Amino acid sequence: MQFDNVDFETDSKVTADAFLSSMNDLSESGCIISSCRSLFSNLFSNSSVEFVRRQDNAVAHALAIEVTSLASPIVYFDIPNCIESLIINEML
Amino acid sequence: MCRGCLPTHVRLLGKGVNCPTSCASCASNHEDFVHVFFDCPFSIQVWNMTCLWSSVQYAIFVTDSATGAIFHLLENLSVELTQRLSSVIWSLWKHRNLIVWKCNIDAASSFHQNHIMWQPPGVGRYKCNIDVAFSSHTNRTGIGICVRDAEGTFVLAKAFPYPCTVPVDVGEA
Repeated sequence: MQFDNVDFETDSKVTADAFLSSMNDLSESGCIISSCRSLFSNLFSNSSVEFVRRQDNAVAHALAIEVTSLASPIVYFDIPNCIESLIINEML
Repeated sequence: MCRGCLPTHVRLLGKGVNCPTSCASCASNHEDFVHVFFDCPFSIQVWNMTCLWSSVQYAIFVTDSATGAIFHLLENLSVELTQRLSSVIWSLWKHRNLIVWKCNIDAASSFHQNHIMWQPPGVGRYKCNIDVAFSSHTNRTGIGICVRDAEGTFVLAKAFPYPCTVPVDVGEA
């Protein structure tokens, strides 16, 4: 499985910086970051990870809030209600 | 600012510094604290653009000093508007200093910074936004992932809940 041309955006500066640095960190978050790094280099080509301001990440945030009240993981193939208006606004 | 420490031209003259008392943005010849923030036509225009002018006018009307007006605004505005108020006040002073020290009048554009928005990726690329939210009330963590294409059209979203709360750095990672 291989994906191309994907730009990942997070509003966590610490995470983005840790991901982009080559330092190995033995803390819990450091271990997660290093497995993210190896996944990223194996599965994604011509892709990037970057930090964005919180305002730019409103859709992901709304989704994350919504999911705290769900019981199990879910994949949406159509726009979920909670982010529909945000997405339409951002398309303008 | 509320202690009257800002070195406006009028205050500098009061301290014995020999300088003109003209305002940087308009033709007024009395640049003091009140003028810079509340009297100058430029500042009024900025307050109008940020939809705060009516609240500011009211605060000046019901209080007897500029300091009083600022405290009145801070106590009565919503959290979002007090944040906007502070950034406008900061920007007004920054704008004035840029003109005084660098003769730069482009600073007005810095007021529009609060219109930040999501930008679509380049043609043929996908953009994936990721965020995490914590609910201390239900003791749960949620991760939201949303993929969109170059037109900003929704492609796929995934959401995972976790029945525990974790440190912020672990969650974001």
